[in-house]
Amino acid sequence: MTFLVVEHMCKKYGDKIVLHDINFEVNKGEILAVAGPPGAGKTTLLKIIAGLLTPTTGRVLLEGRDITNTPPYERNFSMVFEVPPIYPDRTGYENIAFPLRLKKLPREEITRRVHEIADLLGIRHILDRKPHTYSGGEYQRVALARALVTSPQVLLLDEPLKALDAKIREEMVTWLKNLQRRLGVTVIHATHDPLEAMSIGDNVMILLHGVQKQLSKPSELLNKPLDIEIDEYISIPALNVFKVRVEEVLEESAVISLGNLKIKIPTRISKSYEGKEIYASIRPIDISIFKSEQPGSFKGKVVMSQYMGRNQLVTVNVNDISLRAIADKTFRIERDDSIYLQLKPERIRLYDLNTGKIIT
Amino acid sequence: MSRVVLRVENIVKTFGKTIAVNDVSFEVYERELFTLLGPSGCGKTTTLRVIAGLERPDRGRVYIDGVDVTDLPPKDRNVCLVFQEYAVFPHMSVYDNIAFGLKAKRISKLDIDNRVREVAELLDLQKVLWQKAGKISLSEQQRTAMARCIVIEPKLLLLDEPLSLVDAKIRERMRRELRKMQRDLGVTMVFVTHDQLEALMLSDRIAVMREGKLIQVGRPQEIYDNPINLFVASFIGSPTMNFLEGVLRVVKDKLILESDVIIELMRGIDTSLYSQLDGKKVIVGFRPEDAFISPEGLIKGVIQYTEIAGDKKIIHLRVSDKCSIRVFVDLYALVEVGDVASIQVNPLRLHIFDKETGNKLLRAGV
Repeated sequence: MTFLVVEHMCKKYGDKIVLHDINFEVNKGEILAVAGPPGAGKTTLLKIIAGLLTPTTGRVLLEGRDITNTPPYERNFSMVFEVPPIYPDRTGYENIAFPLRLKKLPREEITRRVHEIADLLGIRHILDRKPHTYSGGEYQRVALARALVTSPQVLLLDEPLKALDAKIREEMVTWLKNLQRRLGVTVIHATHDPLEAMSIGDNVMILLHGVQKQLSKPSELLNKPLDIEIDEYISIPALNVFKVRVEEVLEESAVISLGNLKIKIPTRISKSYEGKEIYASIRPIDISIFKSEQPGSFKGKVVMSQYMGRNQLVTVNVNDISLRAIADKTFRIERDDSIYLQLKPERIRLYDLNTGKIIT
Repeated sequence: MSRVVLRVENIVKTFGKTIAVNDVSFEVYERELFTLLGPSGCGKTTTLRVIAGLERPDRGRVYIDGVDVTDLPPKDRNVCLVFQEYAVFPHMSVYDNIAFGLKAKRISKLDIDNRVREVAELLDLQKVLWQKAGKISLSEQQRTAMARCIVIEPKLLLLDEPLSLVDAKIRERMRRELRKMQRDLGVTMVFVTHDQLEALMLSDRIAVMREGKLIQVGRPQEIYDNPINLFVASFIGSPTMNFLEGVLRVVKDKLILESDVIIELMRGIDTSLYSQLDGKKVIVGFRPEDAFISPEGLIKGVIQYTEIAGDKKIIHLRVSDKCSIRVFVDLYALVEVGDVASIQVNPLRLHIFDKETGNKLLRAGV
């Protein structure tokens, strides 16, 4: 039986629809990452699962049991917020022990469990200290410890890493994932950052303006975004998107024209697109840069090169079209250099101009 | 390079017992984008505020265009500071926002109008010129805040984490816009950020700070390829550099690392260095992109998990109980959790640090 199920969930505030028909399942011990920009409805979704809000319609099932109207304290779920409310005047120990005290557990049991979780999270050293002495990462770990000390059935994380420095955030993603594997706890992790979602989630749900756009494994999401909005949202560095004309539809491929460039794409598309305009997208990583002409390459001029350490993001003008490509860190490149771009045809995705849906 | 616009000399600033800035010196050249980079609390913002004149240093001098401005109030320094939250007046039009600084300067209305329109055009704000600043997009607000600074033609533009509150997705585009604008206008900028990728992408030069001290100054590539100590090595680059702890051994003319694995670091080393290196406790670093899966690889481990990092896949390899390393593989590569993989490191891209001091001992291949 599926561990956690959300069925046809909607949430309205007056006329405003915040969540439209959300449906998903999470298996025990899995991480579901929910990715969407601010205002997409992530927090509302988490609060409904936690029982802090009631949905307008729809159900939440835990191991087949309908818990939609079960009060939060009977669900044994824990939720951690972006800036978690930790009592500033209490020590780490007292903060972590708090939910256990509410449950009126015996003192020895509380001590044992607090120490156990503190060791697991590597925060034993701050148990006697008050929150103002913590680093950002430590603060977040105390909040997590408090959420985990009750051994919750489901851990709901609402942008728990957003307030941290970029560098610490990156380490925390790895750390959090390791921790989750050891504990086997089921997690729903909401984030605005699609890369964080894809690196942490076993499955990723893309939530855009209250609509569940896609739910799939990270690699599948990356290879087959269902529409252009998803593709643009998940692609960092930013996706190249063009309006192109379908020149010819062949058996197993199609020829598109982009300005005066013609590209043959190994995608089977309907004959009805012939002569019509559609969208084509390609990620910067799927465009290669060369100093000399290559088969099927296009000549362009470098507008800007941004060094990113392991590689560089290069903006190139080909005729009137501006493209971004990724070059290796050892590639020497200057503004106004003439270079040749090669687009990997199999990595070009096509979308319907009107619906935005992927054409396959 | 060109003319020095800003010179910061031995700045010290304390708050009570805390030394926020500890003897920091650097120079910024004309038309340069210079970034102060470091973790929270490293003193970067305080340094910027000292340059702006918002904080008085305990010691040291600040020179702008060769003039000692240490004792001048902010308004007489001819610098402009853009804060984390763009200070645009939301109820005023973009036009009035840009004109604001000029009105205070008693310039004729016609001159104000000309200059506002000129700057608005440069920053592509003509279309929203008569809209309220509270109603326009974040990117437009950022440009409005910049325009308001640029219109008074400051010698120096100071920016304190101007992109940190923007969404990850929009941030990337804004970085590109900011860089293009800075180049097109030829403005000299000092930029503060805690985000190493932002610093690498934007800057002509970067100053890495830690605990009030300036650790390393250089072009992005210098800092990335040649970090002078463990702190810079681990702070710059995402994902973080891999580190192997061990002891150096000199065998004939080869330098070897004895650790969970044994790897040859370099050959043909100078005999005079033997006694210095043999037996030394070190930390050897290499970046995830400088290693690759190879059957001949000496570093073996089990793939714990893989993750997607935009354009590549990262595999996490457990080498020993204590040590796990990350390696980039192709995004579409078929690697499975639980597979045993052996990896090889590009020998020219190994960094050897003294375990005791954290300072760089040797850069392999050099």
